[in-house]
Amino acid sequence: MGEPSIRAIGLAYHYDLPTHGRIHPQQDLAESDLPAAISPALNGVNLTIADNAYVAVIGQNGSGKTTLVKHFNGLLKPTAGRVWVEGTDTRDATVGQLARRVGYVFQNPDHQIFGATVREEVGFGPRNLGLTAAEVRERTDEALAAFDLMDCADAPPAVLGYGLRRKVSLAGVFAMRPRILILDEPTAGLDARSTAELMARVDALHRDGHTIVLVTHDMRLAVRHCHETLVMHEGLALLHGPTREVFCRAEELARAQLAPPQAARLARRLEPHGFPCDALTVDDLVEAYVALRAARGRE
Amino acid sequence: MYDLYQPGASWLHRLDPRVKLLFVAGASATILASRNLWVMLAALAATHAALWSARIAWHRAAWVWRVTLPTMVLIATLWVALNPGAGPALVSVWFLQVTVANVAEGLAVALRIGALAFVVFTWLFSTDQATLVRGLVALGVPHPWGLTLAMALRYLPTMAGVFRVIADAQQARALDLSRGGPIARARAYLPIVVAMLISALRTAENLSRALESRAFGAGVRRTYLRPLHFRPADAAWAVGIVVVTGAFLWARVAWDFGAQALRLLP
Amino acid sequence: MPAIEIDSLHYSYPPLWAGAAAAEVLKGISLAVAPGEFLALMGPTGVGKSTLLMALNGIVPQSTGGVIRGRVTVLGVDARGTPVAELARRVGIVYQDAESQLFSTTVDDEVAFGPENLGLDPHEIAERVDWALDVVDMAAHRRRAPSQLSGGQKQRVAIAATLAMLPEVLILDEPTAALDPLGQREVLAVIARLCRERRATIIMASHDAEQVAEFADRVAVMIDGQIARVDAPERVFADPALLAAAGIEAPEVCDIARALNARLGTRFAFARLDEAVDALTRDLAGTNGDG
Repeated sequence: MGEPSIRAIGLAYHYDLPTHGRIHPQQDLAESDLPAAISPALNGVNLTIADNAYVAVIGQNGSGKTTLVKHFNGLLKPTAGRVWVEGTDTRDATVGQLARRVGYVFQNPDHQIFGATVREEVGFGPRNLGLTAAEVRERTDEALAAFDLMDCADAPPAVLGYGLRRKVSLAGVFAMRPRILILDEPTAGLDARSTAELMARVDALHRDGHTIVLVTHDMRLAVRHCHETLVMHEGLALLHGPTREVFCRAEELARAQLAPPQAARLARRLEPHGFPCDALTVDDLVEAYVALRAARGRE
Repeated sequence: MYDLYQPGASWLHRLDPRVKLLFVAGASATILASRNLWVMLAALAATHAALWSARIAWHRAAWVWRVTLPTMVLIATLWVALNPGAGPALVSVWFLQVTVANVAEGLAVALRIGALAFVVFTWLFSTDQATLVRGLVALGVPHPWGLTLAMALRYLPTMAGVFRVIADAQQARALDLSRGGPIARARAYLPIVVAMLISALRTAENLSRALESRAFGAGVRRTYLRPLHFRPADAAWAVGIVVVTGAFLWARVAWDFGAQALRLLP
Repeated sequence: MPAIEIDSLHYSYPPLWAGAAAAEVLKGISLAVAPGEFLALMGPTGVGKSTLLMALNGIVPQSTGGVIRGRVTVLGVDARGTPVAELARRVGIVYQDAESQLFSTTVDDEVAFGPENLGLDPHEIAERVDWALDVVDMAAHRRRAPSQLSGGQKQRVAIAATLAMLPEVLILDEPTAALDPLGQREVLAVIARLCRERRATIIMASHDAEQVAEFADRVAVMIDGQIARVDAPERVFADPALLAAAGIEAPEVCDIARALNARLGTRFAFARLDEAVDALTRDLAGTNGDG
């Protein structure tokens, strides 16, 4: 339990100003040439994600959360500072090498799906890792079973419904058996039942020892599943800690343009009546209300 | 890189797109019909003057030079090397006969590339895509074709972005794009290309529904928010361009004007 | 007269390859929507919500092909027989993915596209563009390129582009699904404004029960290709069996209401945050526990 999964110190990242592929001095650029954000995407982030952590990364679009997690599998290399994944400096490793340890499931499953059959698609990752045919087959079967895709194993993934395509892309990354899993908006566009099934699977993966980094806009996921939460704002890690504590910090969340789930907002509105600030879920609220009412009844 | 247009309100920007197209056609015809160094230099000077007075940023012109220079140098060099010229030799090494004549010819032929490039880019730098397509349609191109061209231009950066994201996503599954010879590398790009094609098809399907949902193809004569206005200035330029081009081409045919590298009239 | 009347609608898409069986997506939909009503459409992913919505402006079946049975009458006009371009004057759809709905190079060209197709006078087009951009609060960005906008801004432009057609029926197919919280708030503010002005009949497909509770007059729940129930949001979200069958999650305040009623014997019936705050505050203050 010693080595943290991910460590970052002074992590900073600047995107190049995209004018004809070159960087030009400011005065030459017309108003329309200036990109939306001149400030660095990441402005010096220090963080440690422990082994077997279950972290939610939340923040507005443009806060740097996607830029941050892309450093965790080497897709981006820091322009300043360092990132270590399981002790390896990411600048010393290629994306391919890091892919053995860090699985990144992209937000849009269609950005990864290209195979003629689901089986071929799921086996793509293991094949790239250079495993033997027998190992590839074993891992593919395991992933298909884990995500309940055995029935459509021979169908072309591109014509399946969105929920199934989502599972296929997850299975494809899972088959590589990475210890660390980065999930970018895994439940976007899914209905409640599919979301529940998927999150049950993710919870199970966490119990099996994986480190889970969940990038999401859905605050309910963070509150209901993730043990810790990291709030990104303007390229900095604004808050990082146990989920309950983070969601208590109303001002910082408001500054980051984030709102807690409805139950938590209800608790916030009822705070003058004595609601604890860390009532975040439906159950928390019900318990707190019952207790409060009982206390009032005795008065 | 795809954003060739630089917004502005100069005379060049306000010139009717049809006139600018006429300029491109006329200037290209003139340049292609000529092999004269002075004609090329004049075309380059004129386009640079136009860009300067329209306040187009210098780095755009510099970019065009950067892109065309290697080709121009190559052409000039090959021309001089492979075409023994008439007249006294400046340098004579083995089969290489460098004379004033063939250097001038080589330069003229090479500068054709630059001149043509600047003619086209003067047009593209000062015309936004919507107006560009509007000009084409006003000249008789059917609106759906013009719309197709406009959409292709608009989606180019988007597709490039999608390509990058897909490349990232597949590399995150340990796809190695850097190893192997050209054939192996081309095969490695297959997962990216296929995913991109699928993405493009989906986008196309969504696009067609969006177009129909906004009454595309309503069968009514289409109007425009910003109709083109042919001003007197536009008419003057159009006439000027036609006269100059016509005169030059006639002189070229009749008197071989501009056919030789150094002398305008033989 | 209802704005929309659907009677025993059956539809299957053409099969993906020749010889395959065509699966029926809509299996007998009957639904009536009153003028000016805000109807939400909920159901599991893939149940056919988008298909049903596209049947309202004729894209299904005129562009998608397939086999259709039943009647779809929109604003007194038969949607199956009327050309899509004709229906587009009265029915506007905003789709989920803003990126593939915005194909012009500037925002105002995009919003003008629909009216231009209708052959309107340039002055009228300009007026409609100005008005639509004001409604969605994007007037300041009119000369910007859509590809440079944020998700919320793009979706607002898509809404403006549809509004510029002045449709009497506005359809929103999961308008905020792909957006971040700020974008969602921006788009929801626009929807709220449209609701207040109450000019159009609005139909919105959504997975987000909180949004539905906030805006909808009625919710139509689709299960397995049919409408299982059409009712007020409070009643729909208070029915756990229905929600489970449809894979829908109620707003958290509804779950709170139900749980409190079970524990305390109260009769809370709130479905929205404001209502919940009022009801619980009054209850704590000692007045009657009915929300």
